[in-house]
Amino acid sequence: MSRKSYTPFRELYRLALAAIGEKQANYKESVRWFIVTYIAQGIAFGLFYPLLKSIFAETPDTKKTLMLFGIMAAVTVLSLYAKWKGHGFDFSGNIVDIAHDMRTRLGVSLRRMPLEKLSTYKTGELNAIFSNNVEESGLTLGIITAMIVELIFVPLTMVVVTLFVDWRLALFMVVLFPLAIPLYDRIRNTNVAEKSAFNRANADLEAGFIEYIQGLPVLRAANRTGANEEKLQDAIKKARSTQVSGLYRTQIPYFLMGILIQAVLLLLLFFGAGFVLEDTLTLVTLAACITVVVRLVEPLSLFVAVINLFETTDIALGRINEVLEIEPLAVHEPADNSVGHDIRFDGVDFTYEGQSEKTIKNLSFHTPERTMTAIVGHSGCGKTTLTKLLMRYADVQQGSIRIGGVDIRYMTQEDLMSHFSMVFQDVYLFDDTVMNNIRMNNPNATDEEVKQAVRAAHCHEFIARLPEGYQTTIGDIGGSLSGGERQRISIARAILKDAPIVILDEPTAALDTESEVSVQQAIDKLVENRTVIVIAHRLSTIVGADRILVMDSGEIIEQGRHRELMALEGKYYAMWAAQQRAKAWSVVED
Amino acid sequence: MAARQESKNQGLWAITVPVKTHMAAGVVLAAVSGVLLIAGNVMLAQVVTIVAGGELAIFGLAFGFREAFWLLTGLIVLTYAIRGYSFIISHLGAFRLEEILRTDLTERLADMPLGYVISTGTGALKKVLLDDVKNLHAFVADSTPMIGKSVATPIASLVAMLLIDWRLALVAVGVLVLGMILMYAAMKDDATYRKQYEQSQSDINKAVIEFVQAMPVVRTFDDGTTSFKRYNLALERYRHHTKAWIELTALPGKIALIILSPLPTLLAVTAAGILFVTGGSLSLFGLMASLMVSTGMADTLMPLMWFNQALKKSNAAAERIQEIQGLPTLDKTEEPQIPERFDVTLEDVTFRYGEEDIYALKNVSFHVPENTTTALVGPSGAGKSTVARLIPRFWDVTEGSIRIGGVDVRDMTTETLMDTVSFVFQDTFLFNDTLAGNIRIAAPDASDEAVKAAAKAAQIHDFIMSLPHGYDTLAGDRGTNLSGGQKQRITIARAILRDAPVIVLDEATAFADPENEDEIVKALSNLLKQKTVIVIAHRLSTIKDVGQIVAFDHGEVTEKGRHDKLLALDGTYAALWKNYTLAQNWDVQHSGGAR
Repeated sequence: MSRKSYTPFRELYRLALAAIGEKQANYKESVRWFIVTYIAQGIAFGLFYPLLKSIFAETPDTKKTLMLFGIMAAVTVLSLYAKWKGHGFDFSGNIVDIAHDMRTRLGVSLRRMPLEKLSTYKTGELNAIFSNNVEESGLTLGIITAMIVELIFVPLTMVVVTLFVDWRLALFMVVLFPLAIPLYDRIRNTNVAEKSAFNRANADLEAGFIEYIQGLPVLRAANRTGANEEKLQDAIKKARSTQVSGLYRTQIPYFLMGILIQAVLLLLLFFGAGFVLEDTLTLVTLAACITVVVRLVEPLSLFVAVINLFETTDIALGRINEVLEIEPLAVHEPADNSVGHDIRFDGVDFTYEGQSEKTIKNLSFHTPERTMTAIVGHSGCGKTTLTKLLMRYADVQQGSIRIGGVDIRYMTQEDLMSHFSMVFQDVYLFDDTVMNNIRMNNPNATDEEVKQAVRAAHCHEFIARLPEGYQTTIGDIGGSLSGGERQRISIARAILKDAPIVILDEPTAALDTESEVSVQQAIDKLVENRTVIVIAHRLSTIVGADRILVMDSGEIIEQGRHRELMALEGKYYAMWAAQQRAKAWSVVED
Repeated sequence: MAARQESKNQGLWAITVPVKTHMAAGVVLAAVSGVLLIAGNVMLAQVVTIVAGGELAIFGLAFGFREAFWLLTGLIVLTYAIRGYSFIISHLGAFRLEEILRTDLTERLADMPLGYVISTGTGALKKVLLDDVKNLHAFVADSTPMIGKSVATPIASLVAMLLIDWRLALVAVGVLVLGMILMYAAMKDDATYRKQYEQSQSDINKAVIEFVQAMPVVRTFDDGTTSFKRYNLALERYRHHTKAWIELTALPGKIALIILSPLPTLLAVTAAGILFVTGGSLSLFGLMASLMVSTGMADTLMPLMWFNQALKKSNAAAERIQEIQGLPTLDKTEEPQIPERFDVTLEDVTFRYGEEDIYALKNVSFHVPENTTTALVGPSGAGKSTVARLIPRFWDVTEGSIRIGGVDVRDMTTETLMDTVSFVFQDTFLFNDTLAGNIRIAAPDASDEAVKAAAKAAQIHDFIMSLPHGYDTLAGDRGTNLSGGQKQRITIARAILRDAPVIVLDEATAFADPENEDEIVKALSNLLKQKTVIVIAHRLSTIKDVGQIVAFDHGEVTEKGRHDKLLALDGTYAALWKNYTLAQNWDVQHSGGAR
C-alpha cells in the first residue's frame, strides 16, 4: 500500500473531539443517532428484497405485502426520527457554542502565551486561525459527520441484509471494495501533495506581488512594469500551471472513485443475469438488489466532492491545537510581593529562540528606585531586548531580573505588569471612546482623575475640539488624530495607571517638531517621582540621566553620567560627536 | 487626470467574460452528464428486465442482453467522463481567469497614479491580487458544474418519471410539494433577527482582528484583561444573535433535511407501486425505474444553497477587483517631450484628492532655479509633502501646472519623468536580488565600477565589502537582514547611480532611523551635489542656509525667502523655528530625588 502523507481518519476524529471540548458528549450522542438513522435506512432499503418478491409473486399475498410495507414504513419513521435527533446537535447551536468555546480558549492562550512565541505569528496568520480555521472546523463537523456515518453504515447494513438473501450478490457487492482503499489513499495523498505545491506557488506569487507593489517607483523608472517585469509574470504563470497539472493528477483517481460504484452495479447485472439464466436467482431479487445499490451512487459522489474538506479540516484543527498547546511562562512558587521598585539585572544571558548567538551577554546593572537610567547604543545592540526581558517577553537563560528584590519569575503576569507604564513609538488605540481608551488600565478612575491625567498629558485642548469630546469614538475620527495626539492619549493612559516604573522607548522619534514639544512636556509630567528607563537615540534628550548604559553587542561597555562618559572619550563620546556633526549639517548648494 | 468613463459592466458576470466559454461549457457538460446519469438508470432498469431473454428497443434498433449490457457500460463511462471533463474545463477557466486578471491588474498598477498605490498600501493591494482573485474560484470553477447538474437532474428525473409512469411521477412530485409547504409554513423570516445575525457576523470578525492585532502592543501595557473583556463581549453577542437566528431557522432546516432524504419519496412511490402492481397496471420495470429516478428531483435544493454562498464570497471579491480596474490611470501624452534644463516651476497649482471638497493645495506658485536648493516647511498637514509628491507625478494637479525645464510633467513619458526626478526615500525597498543588482536597477547598463563608485559615495561600500559574499549578497526577504540605515544608504547609492538632475528629498524619512546619521549625512551630501533639490524639511537647522525656503500653511504658500528674512517676518516660519529650538533643547526632566 502506498505511503500515507495525510492524517488518517481516526486521528482526524480524535483531533475533532479534542477541539469540541465540553460538547463531546452531545457530539457523540448525535453520532449515535446518525448510526441508528443509517442502519435503519439500510434495513428499509433491504426490505425491498422481500417486498418486491411479495408484490411480484405468482400468487400475490396481499396481507404479507401490506405487513412488509408496514415494517418498511416503521423503519423509515425510525430512521427519519433518528435523523431529526442527530441534526438536533447542529441545529440547536452546539456548533456555535463549540466555536465560541474554541475562540475563548484561543483568546486565553493568546493573552498568556510568552511574548516571544506571540511574535513568531504574523497578525494575518492569527486572524486566520481565530476566524477562518475555527469556522472551517465547525463547518466540517456539521456537514461531514452525517455524511461519513451514512457512507459507512448504509452499505454495511445492505451487505449484511443481502448476505441473508443471496451470498453471491453480497460477494459481488464487496468484491470491488478493496480497490476503494488505494484510490482513497491516492486521492488524499495527491490532495496533500497538490496543496503543498499550490501553497509554494502561492507563496512565491505573494512575495512577487509585495516586491512589485513596494518596488513600483523604482520599477517604473527602470521601465520594468506590467508585462516587462518578467519575474512576476513568470510567477503568475507558474501559479496557473501548478494548478493545471495538479488538476489533471487529482482528476483520475476522482474519476475512478466515482465510477467504482457503477462498476459494482454492472458486475451485479452481469453475473446476476447468469444466475437468473441458470435459475439460481429470481429476476425480482436481482432487480431489488440493483434498485438498492443505485441508492449509493449519490452519497458516494457527494463524498468524493468533499474529500478535500478533510485536508482543510486537518490543517484548521492542527493550527488551532498548536496555539492552544503553547504553555504560558510558569509563575514560580511561592509567589512573592516586591518591596520597592528598584531594578536589578544580575548576570543575564539571553538568546532568542532559534538563534545561536546571545543577544544579551552576562549583563548586570542596578537601577535604584526613582532614578532615571538611559540605555543607548546602535540598533541591534540589545537595548530593546533588555526592556522586553524586564516585562518577561521570554525567560532569561542565565542570571536573574529582580524588581524590588523579587525575581520576576515569581510574580504573576498581572502583578508584574502593574509595575510598569510604557510609552513607545507605536500607539494602539481601541475603537472605543477617548474616555475608555484613557481609562483602560484603571477602569475605576473617577472622571476627575481622568481629567487630571488628561491635563497633565496636554490632551485637554485637542479633546475639547473633538466633535463629542471625551465621548468621541476613535474609529469615527480615525486618521484625523495626529501621531502626537495619539501619543499624548497613551501618555494620559500611563499617567492614570500611576505605575511606579516608566519605560520610554523612543517616544518622540516619529513625531514632527510641533507635536514633539507637547509630547515632551507630557513625558516630563509622567516621569515625575518614578523609576525611569529610557531608550534614546538622540543623546541630547538624556544628558540629565542618573546613569547612562552604553551597550554594544549585548554587553554594557560603558556606564555613568553624561559628563563622566564624555570624559572617558570612548564609545559614548564618539556617538555624541557624530550626532553633533549630523546636527550641524545643512543642505546648502555648493 | 481625465476621469475615465464609468465602467458600466460590474459584478461577477462582467468579470468572468474572458472565460465565459469555459463556464458555459462547464454548465452544459455537467447538465449533459446529469441527463445521461438518469438515462443510464432507466436503461439499467430496462436491461434487468431482459436478463432472462427478450430484447431492448432503442431508436428502433433491437438489442439482446449482451449488447445492451455493453451499451450501458459505455453510457456510464461516457457519463462520468463528461462529468469529469466539465469539472476540468471549468477549473481550467478559473485558473486562466486568475492569470488574466493578475496580469491585467499588475499592468494597471503601473499606469496608475503612484499616490494611489502608496495610499492604498501594499497589504490591501496584495490582498486583491492574491486573495480576491483566488476567491473567484468558488464561482467560476466550483459552482458551474453544480449549476448544470442542479438544473438538469430534476428536470431529467421528472421527464423520465413521466415517461415511465405519470401516476408515480405525480406521487413523487406530491411528496416534494408537501415538504415544501411544511417548510414554508415553518419558515419565520424575521428581518430584525436576520439583520442582527448578519451584523454580529461582521462584528465578530472585527473583534477578532482588533484582539489579535492589538495583543502584542497591549501585552506591553497591561496583561490583556481589558482587551480580553472586549473580545469576550463580542463573542457573547455573536453567540447570542447566532443562536437566536438558528432557533428561528432550525425547524424549516430540519424539515428540509428530512424531505431531501430519499426515504419519504421512496416510501410513497412504493405504496402507490403496490397499489398499481396489484391492480395490474404497473410492471417490474416501471416500479424499479421509478424507484431509481424518483429521488433525483429533491437533489436540486442542496447544491443551490451552496451556490448562494459561493456567489456571495465571489461577488465581494469581484467588486474589489473591479474597483481597482475602474480607477483612472495617468493620462499618457501624445507628443512626449524631453526637458533640456532642470529648473522647476510650479504655477498656480491647486490640488484636491479625488472628489474631496477640501483643497489640499491652493494656488501654489514658486520657482526653483537649476542646481539650487529649496526647502518646503510648514506644520503637518500644511501641504508641503503634497507639493513634493506632485512633482514626480504621484498625483496630477487639479489645476495649474508643474514644469521642469519648461516642460509640463504631464508631457513627459513615465520613463523620462522618472529619469529626471528622483524621489529619495519613497523607495527604500530592496528587491530580492543581489546588492549589486539592487543598486544597478537604477541604470541596468552601469558597469561594476560605476556601481562601486555609487556605493562608495553613499558610504555603504565598506559595509558591503565586509559581507562574506560582498556585492553578490542577496538582499530582501530571503537574504541578509540589513538595518534601516544600511537600506537607506543602498537606496542613496541607487539614486546616485541614476543621477537624476532633480531630487526630491523627504527629510523626515531620511532620518527616521537615527542610527548612523553621520554616514547618511555624508551620503546625502554626495547625492545632492550639482542637483536641483527640493527638500521637505523638518530639522530646520539643516536648511538655515538654503537659497529659498517656502513656508506653507493650510495648503497655501505664506512666505518665501531665506532664513533671516522669514524670521524677521515673525509669521509661520518664525513660529516653526521657535518650536523647533524648544524641542531640540529638551532633555527628560526627571525629578526623582535620589540623585
